[in-house]
Amino acid sequence: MHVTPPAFRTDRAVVLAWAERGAIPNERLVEALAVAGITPGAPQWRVFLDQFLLWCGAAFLGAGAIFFIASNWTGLARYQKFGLVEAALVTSVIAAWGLGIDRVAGKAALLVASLATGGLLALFGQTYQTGADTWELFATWGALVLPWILVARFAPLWVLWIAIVNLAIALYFRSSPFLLGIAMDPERQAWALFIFNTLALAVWELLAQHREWLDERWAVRLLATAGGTAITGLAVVAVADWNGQIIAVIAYLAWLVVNHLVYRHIIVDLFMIAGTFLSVIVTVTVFLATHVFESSTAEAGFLLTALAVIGITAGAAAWLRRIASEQQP
Amino acid sequence: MTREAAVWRTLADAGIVSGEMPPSDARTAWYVRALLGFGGWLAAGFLIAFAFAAFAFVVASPAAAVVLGLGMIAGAAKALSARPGSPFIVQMGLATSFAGQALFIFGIAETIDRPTAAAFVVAIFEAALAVLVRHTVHRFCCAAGAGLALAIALTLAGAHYLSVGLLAGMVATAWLNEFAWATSASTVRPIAHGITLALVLVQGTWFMQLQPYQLARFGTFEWFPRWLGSALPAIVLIAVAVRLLRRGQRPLGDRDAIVTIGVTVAIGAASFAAPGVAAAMMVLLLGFANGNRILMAIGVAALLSYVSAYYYQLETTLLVKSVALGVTGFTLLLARWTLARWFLTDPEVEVSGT
Repeated sequence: MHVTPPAFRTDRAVVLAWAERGAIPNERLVEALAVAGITPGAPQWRVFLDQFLLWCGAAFLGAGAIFFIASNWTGLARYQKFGLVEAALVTSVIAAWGLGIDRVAGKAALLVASLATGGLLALFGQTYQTGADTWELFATWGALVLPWILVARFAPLWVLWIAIVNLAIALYFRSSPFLLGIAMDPERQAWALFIFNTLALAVWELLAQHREWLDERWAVRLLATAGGTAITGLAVVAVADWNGQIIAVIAYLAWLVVNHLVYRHIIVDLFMIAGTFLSVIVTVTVFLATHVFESSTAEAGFLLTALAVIGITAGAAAWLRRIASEQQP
Repeated sequence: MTREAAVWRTLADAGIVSGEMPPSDARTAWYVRALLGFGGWLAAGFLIAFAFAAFAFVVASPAAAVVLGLGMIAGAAKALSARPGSPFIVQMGLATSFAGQALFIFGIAETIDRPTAAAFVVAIFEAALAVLVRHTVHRFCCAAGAGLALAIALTLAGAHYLSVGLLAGMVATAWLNEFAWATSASTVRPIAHGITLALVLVQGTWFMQLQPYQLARFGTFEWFPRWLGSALPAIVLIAVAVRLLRRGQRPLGDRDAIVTIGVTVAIGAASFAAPGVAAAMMVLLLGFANGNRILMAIGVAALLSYVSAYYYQLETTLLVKSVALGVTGFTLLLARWTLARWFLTDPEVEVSGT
């Protein structure tokens, strides 16, 4: 018997709305939800428990290893510590090879191997005090695990890799102000994070058209949130403290338009459009909060800003509902 | 045939419903509601600043702040209850109510000398608003506020370690009864989501975990035993597993039921030193059981955020924490191996993807 996942989606809200209206007798609601495939039956429970135990187990083991290294316990000699972490790394790689990377258990083993690699690098830096910057640890970690990520063909592992690269970028700009000086540092960091995450998002969306294993909306939404946060940060700095950042303003406006057009007409995803509205609310609020008070009293400034936020939010909600109603069959 | 019509047909074929399909309501996605809530709070911040700037008596008299706050909430409640409400008026109502609540809390904190009593009053007040004001986003925010105020009140009262277990119990009760209380779903569901958010914030953020240290200046004696506080989330997790088995009409003496309860007890025992793990797993489990994907995502986020907050917890050493996480991970994998052996004896089930 092949096991299919429960329906989830909007069916749940529909059936519960019928129950609230009394169209489904209360004593038969549990049965109705089961018949509609909304709540899981025994086969779905078994698959869920299997995956739940596997992924949580693997993640906790990996986290335990990282905590252990961070504890810098003196009860073990350095070679014993290296031995432990290397044993975890080798065991998980052998497990992945033995189980096969097409199976979920094999992918989980690669997750542990990827985390253990980071732990090994951290232990190396901790033991030998190499003098390397923290960003180099993350960059090396990302480079070393990339081959496993490539062969695993598994969206969560790609998200882990992208998170490692994000950390490397963020730490690089914190430790390397270069010629532009420390004052420019956060903006350079935001630019780098925006460009990297937006490129990753575009590539992911394109590849997901042809690769089913990449078709995970939570992952692209996460990437869009990361890129959107960075460009919103740049826009906020520009409107709050104008210093000729015309490129940031143009990039922000372009991001708003492209995001809206793509996720309204090409890949319909209201979450992304809601994100652009959230960004607009934040940017407009910062603009008003920093400029309105220059030409009015504090009372008027606060009230005007509050009304503007209310107006934009209400308009955004009405707009999103309109788009949603257009999408419904 | 639309998806809704197909579901209706399925239910009709099973003899559960009859007649015409009821007209469908417009549904609002969770992220649109989140946007409304965020906008409401942001605007509320400026409204509070306006109230303090424009009405000096608010700052001078806590009683006036309470009265003004209550008046704002009453007006907002009327606007939020209007059907159908204009988006602007509804958003205005949300912001006004949130600002009114902040003024009320400010007034109460200034009026009542004992911070513990003030926190309990705020918790009860927020809980009452969650029930009385008929708006989904408002209910959600007030329920979350009530849960957080309760946790703060317990900490101030010397029962910090009770809060995660108590909130976990409330979350479990709400979600396990979601279907039994289906005729009041528009009240129950946002409140259940709000308490769940409070639980995640209390158990999975470093800010709330450091509460006992930050509030040490109040000189509170911690009378509630820490070991009991650590055991409570595990006990709630086991109780949830038993209730779900009963809902699935599995006798507790049944082979699967015994294994499931055994595995849950093992997870609870293994994660004793990291009690947030049991609470987060419970949220994930309830989400799956009720077919609620948002709740499942909250459970995953709770697990991740707990592990990162656990790193900064000051009560145990990193070595103890690493052992706790390692033992939990090992127990979970052992449980999986045991279940896989067990279920492989059932010839009807082929567990795909493993």
